[in-house]
Amino acid sequence: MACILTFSESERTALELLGPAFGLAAKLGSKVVAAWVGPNLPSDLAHHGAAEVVHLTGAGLDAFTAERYTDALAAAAAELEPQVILIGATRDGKDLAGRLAARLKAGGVSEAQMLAVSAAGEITVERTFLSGNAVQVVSIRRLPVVITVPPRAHAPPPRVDAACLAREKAVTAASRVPEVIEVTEKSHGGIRIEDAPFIVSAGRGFKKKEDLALIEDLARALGAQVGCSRPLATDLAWMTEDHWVGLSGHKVRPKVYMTLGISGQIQHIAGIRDSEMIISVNSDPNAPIFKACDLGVVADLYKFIPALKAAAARHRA
Amino acid sequence: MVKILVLVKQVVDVSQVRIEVGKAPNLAQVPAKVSDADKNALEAAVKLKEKAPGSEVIVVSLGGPKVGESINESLAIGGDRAFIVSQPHDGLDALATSELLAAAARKIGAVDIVLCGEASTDAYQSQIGPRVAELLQIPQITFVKTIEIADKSIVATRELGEKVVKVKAAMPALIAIVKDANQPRLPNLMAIMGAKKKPQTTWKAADLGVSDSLTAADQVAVAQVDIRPQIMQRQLTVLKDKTIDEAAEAVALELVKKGVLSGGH
Repeated sequence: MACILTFSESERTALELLGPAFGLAAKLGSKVVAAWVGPNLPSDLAHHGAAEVVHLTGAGLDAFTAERYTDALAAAAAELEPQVILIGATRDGKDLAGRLAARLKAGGVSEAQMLAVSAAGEITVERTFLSGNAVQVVSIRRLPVVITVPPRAHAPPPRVDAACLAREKAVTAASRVPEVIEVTEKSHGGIRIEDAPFIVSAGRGFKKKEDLALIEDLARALGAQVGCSRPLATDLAWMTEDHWVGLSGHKVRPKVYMTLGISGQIQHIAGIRDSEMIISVNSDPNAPIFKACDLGVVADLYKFIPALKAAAARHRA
Repeated sequence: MVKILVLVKQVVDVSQVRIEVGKAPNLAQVPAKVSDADKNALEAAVKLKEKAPGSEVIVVSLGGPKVGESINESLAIGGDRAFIVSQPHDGLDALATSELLAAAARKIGAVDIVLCGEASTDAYQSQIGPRVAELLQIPQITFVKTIEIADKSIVATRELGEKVVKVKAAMPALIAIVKDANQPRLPNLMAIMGAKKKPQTTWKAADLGVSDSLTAADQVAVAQVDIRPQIMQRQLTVLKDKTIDEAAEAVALELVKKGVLSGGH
């Protein structure tokens, strides 16, 4: 009973995975089964076109652990014999995908940018490679395979009124897990930069930490979220890591991404590649960012910020 | 006193790769280096060793003909001995790689901690850590910034974006370290010379009892078939000779057109 099995511990990503899963299922003559693990099964999961929802329950599954969620999903895989397991590439999802693939002796591909099936029925996957310098194309030679898909890369398929079958499956999840002894929420007012439609991002062009007040003020005036490049979040620690945009920070896909004093290292570009429009301000006309933007301005950001604030105020008036 | 295994990957120096349309890049000619986060893993291991005298840091790396350079560098940073698994072919995928590394770990014998980087600089898949943990049937602690050892337990802090989670696990466990967890030391000349005298053992897949059905080139589950340059379609309009106010006006106009201009004053 072949199928495409999907799973994400995030409700939103669980729905997003269904799109690419339907694409694969259509080409492979298969069907889509959506798995949910532990409590709080989202009722919506059965309303987006999957053939079936499998709700995996049992002791030890109240909170995500890669070890026990592997136990649960391996039990589902043993019954359903999926050809492909699609997992949302959140931190937890990546932790789970590697472990589950090892358990199933399956191949694995992380963060698929594009999934396709050849005429011969072979799945090919495109993904970012070499820190964003290249696209790696891989071909799946053996099934099953575990593939992770980045969150927010696909819109959830439309909701349908009729729900599919959602059945509970009791599983044993008893692998040894680390014990959580303390959780510290970072104090940043709940910024989720991945969700922002408009981001203004600061780079090394800012000469000192105090000057970041300028970009914060600009962001307030424009209704944008503040982001930053790697050095500001890591080496200099001028901003918290939830502001960090880039390959190993946050990958963003806003309508407009505006850089101020960011030179455009390849890892930063890799994190903003899917933005609809990129606007860049830098004093160095040779900065690599000008080869990766839609609209560039060669200017001193200290002069540009007040000018943009004034121009935006005129347009709003 | 702890015994630590560090998994180290040799990668191409990404900053030196040139990729052209329609040309397969010859990565074999690009200088190699130790993957960034794996260096952080090595540094973390050496720090733990320094705190607990009598501890041992064992380096394991699967790689091709040039892997010896990375082994020497890892031993210079502070590894005590090294095991090289020579890769059966250069198209090895995460499945076969992790099976070989886990087999090497089993052959080396019981350790307290297996350390690795959160992801490799070249492929950035984050598969090997969780896979090896599963194959060794030990818990995994990923995205780790700090590690302490108390009694026979590991206490580690995990950097999870909006939160920091402190966890505790009995040893053995696998720990995947984030890049920037520490500042890897630059070995001095004496350490570099000393590294060459430290014991190194090389194993082939057959020595590890890993089946050909995993390691043969025609058995790979996930095969790389192409590497293409990343192309971005952008307008590339750069305003150079406008006044600040003209340029700001042009930007404001784009923001209005995109419908993102909102907010306060």
